[in-house]
Amino acid sequence: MVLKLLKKERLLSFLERLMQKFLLVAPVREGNLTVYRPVKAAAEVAVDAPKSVVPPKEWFFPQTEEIYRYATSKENLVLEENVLAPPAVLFGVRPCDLRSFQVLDAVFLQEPADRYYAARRENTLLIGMSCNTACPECFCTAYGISPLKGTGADIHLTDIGTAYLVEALTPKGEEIVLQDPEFYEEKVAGIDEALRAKEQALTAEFAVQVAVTDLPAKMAALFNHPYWEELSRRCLGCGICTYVCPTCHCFDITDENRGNTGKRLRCWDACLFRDYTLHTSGHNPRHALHQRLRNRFFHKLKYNLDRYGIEGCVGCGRCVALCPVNIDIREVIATVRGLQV
Amino acid sequence: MKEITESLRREAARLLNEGVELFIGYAAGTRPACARPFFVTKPEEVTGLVFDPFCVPNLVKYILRHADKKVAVVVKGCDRAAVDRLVAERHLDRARITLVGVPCGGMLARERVLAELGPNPRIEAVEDRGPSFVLRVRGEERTFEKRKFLMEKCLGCTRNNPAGVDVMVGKEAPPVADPEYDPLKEIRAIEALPAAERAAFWEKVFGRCLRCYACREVCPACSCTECTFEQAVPGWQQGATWISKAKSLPDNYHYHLIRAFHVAGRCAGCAECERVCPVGIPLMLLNRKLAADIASLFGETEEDPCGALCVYSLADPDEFE
Ligand code: SF4
Ligand code: SF4
Ligand code: SF4
Ligand code: SF4
Ligand code: SF4
Repeated sequence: MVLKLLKKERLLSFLERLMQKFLLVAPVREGNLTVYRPVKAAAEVAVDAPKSVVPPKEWFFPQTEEIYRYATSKENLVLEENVLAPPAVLFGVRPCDLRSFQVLDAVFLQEPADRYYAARRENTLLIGMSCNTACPECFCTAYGISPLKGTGADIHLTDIGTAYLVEALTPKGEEIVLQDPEFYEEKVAGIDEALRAKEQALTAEFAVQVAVTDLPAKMAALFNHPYWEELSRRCLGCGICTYVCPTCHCFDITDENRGNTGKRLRCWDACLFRDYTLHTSGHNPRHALHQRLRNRFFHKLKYNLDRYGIEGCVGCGRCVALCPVNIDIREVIATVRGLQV
Repeated sequence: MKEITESLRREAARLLNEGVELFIGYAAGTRPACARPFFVTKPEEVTGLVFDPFCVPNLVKYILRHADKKVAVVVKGCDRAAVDRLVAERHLDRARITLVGVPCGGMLARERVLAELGPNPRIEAVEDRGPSFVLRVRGEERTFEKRKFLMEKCLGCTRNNPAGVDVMVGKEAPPVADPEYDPLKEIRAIEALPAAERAAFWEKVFGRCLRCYACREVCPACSCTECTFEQAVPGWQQGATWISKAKSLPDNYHYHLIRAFHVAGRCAGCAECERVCPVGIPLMLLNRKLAADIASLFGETEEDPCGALCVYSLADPDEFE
């Protein structure tokens, strides 16, 4: 691992240097919102922006993606596939969102790997950014994530006042850092203590400390508990909690047909939607809202762990902050752990 | 707000003892300055009920899910209007529901309050002092002038004491409307823009719509059992799809224009659609514009529960074939 310091005033040149070789996808401000999108100038990057509403997973797994186009004639069928994966840098990814890529990798890179996701993941250099502020809804530490660690990133930056601590965590990241030695200074003593203090201060901003021990076993025993029906009474069955979740990965395939040509699209879907598991027969195994809501929590807190050995929630708090009727996964976890089996 | 909360709990217990099966009100949420819908079926649970200026959700739509029960529901003035529409459209049987009206001092805009108090304040008590709310935070009193801190819908509200309810809780509230507030100001500013700039404005806001459909799910006027935008049958069986699942500008436009027209004349003005939107799309601009147009074209329709665009008559000379 290579450890350096980057003076804050040099960040812009650091980004500009990256832009010579890569498409830079970074957080920018749009009104009151933070969104990740390709930027044209490094100055657009909102380095200290609050967490985005839509998570950066959008870069690897866009809400709408064309899989292929087709054209038919009497004799012929032509398929045209276009996997878009330019060499890119995804900059400013928070530690919770970095973990989310590990969750998504488990799904999309298992054999046979998803070509579209895999190509972009392969061609994208990940630059993480430690949190400078936490939201009251955050609870990443419940899953062993530190708001100051860049696990999963190629390069990780941490604001330490007048400079960023730069950690190059992979060979790809080291190459980038080592190519421009003039940007950096050597790490000075005392930083580790400062980071520990910062981590404590940040987690103190969390409104609730969440414990997840024994959750999957507990949930398995409570599948038929009336709690889910009770909880779903106020749920609207909208797609907010899933569309803002960095680990949600359900999609739907549709064809858009125009005469003899068309395209096949893959679009985000949400388990809270009424037609999510609607069968062609008309039967829906999750016809009731409480079954759909229960599925979301089981997926986050149990199924994902059973299937891939990694929790399906990273504690980013987005669903907590944005659910219009205050369905709060932190409370769900605490309630489930407290229920008598 | 202690008094009103207490009389609300008393009334709820009484109604539940007298045969109401489900009482829908508000309880404190897990986040500061946030209340959540709360469903009470037993008199001993009424202690969870609250009323304060963070009880924003419109609870009327929940009645639709309990068509088989005797339901009582807490309504503010702006929520109240939605009931008449649903009754007129025969979604609701008015005789089955007990409307519990609360005199409303206005709802505080959460983000603006938190900008003052910090992201995670412990609000210990709230008091309505007429022109302002006083919040006690760590023993300290903080004053929030209504003119500056109320939600936009409240600044133009003329119905904060709901009329035509079955039970009224607490004393009548003084008016909350700000006489200087002009609901059409922003709309006029947009209308005054050159066409290209106006298009750019809407492209920008509609472009970021996620089509999560929360604005539809929360809306009491969006009461169709089968929505145009939903697949009633799985993909391959569909004769026509009205909208693609794709998030694209044309599809987003399509969604927003149809949504706006489908609620035109039926929108209660509760602003829930705009509140729930995760990406801050200003849906009330469209709703207010349509309401203003309908009022100028068809006259004030507030008295007509069916709304200007939903009236039908069996004696209509037009044929509908
Ligand atoms: S939990 Fe909240 S955000 Fe999720 S579907 Fe229900 S109402 Fe919508
Ligand atoms: S479930 Fe909620 S808190 Fe967990 S990762 Fe998804 S959005 Fe974040
Ligand atoms: S619009 Fe009127 S009734 Fe509705 S919350 Fe505001 S003040 Fe209360
Ligand atoms: S709530 Fe907002 S993002 Fe969701 S569909 Fe409505 S306008 Fe679009
Ligand atoms: S359109 Fe919006 S303001 Fe009108 S009734 Fe529906 S949720 Fe309320």
